Amino acid sequence: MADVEVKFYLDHVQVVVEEATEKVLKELAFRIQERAQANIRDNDQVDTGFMVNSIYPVWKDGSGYNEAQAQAEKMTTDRKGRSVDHAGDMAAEENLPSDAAAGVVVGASYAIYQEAVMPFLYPAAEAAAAEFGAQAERIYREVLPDEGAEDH
Amino acid sequence: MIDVEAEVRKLLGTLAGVTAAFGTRVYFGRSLPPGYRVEQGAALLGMLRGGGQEYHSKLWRASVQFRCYAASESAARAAARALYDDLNDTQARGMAYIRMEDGTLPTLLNEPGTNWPYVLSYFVFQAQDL
Repeated sequence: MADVEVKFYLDHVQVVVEEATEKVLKELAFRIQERAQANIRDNDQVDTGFMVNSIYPVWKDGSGYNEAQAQAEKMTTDRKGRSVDHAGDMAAEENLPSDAAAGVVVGASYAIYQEAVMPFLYPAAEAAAAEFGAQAERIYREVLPDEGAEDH
Repeated sequence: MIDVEAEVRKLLGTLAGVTAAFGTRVYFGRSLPPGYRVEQGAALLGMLRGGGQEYHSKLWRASVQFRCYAASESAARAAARALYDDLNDTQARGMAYIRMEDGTLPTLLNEPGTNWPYVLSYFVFQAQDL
């Protein structure tokens, strides 16, 4: 009987932790998106603004694809003032791999060439992950009530 | 402070497979040197893309991107395989480990402008200050 109770308790905790982890990783994906966009601007990699606006986070039950597509495809002028038409240029929405809880996608198909010459996404992921420890702890505390704290 | 790029360059110069595949055409930076053409033979272009100090100043982790250029797609793939065979799971003086970066696979691309084929791959180096 004790085993059953323990197992139930652990299963319950596991479910709660998984929910918290998904929330943490979703927030991390948004943070990486913001940093990647900042890196693109800092690196002077903006021509029309299509690529910088085409970055979107993906999580278990949603994504920022539609918003990114709308923003990216409405860019109509390059840095020399010439007209461009990006309608239909956004790559199809990427699905999250089954073993991932969140991700960040660049919808501009040529982004890999920009990343290879002047990385903006990898440094964003590294920096966001490094700074995220404290914020992850805050989220875990919100989702996992610290019952012991009520005693003090 | 460990100069990871210098250590990686030094290591590449000692690897027989890399030397056979690329000769002296091993470069570091954002772009190939002016005057290089793929007809001269395969070229390797490395670039540090991230990493940092681990635990203490004697141990550094670096993510290094490699572009393996060649005159044909098959030659670029062969050159990239030679790089992988020499680097992956290798230990060397000053390098605790070297591995292809998790979640990445070598990717065949064509250089915008020249259309030269190249294979893009990423490796993690853990460098020690001996």
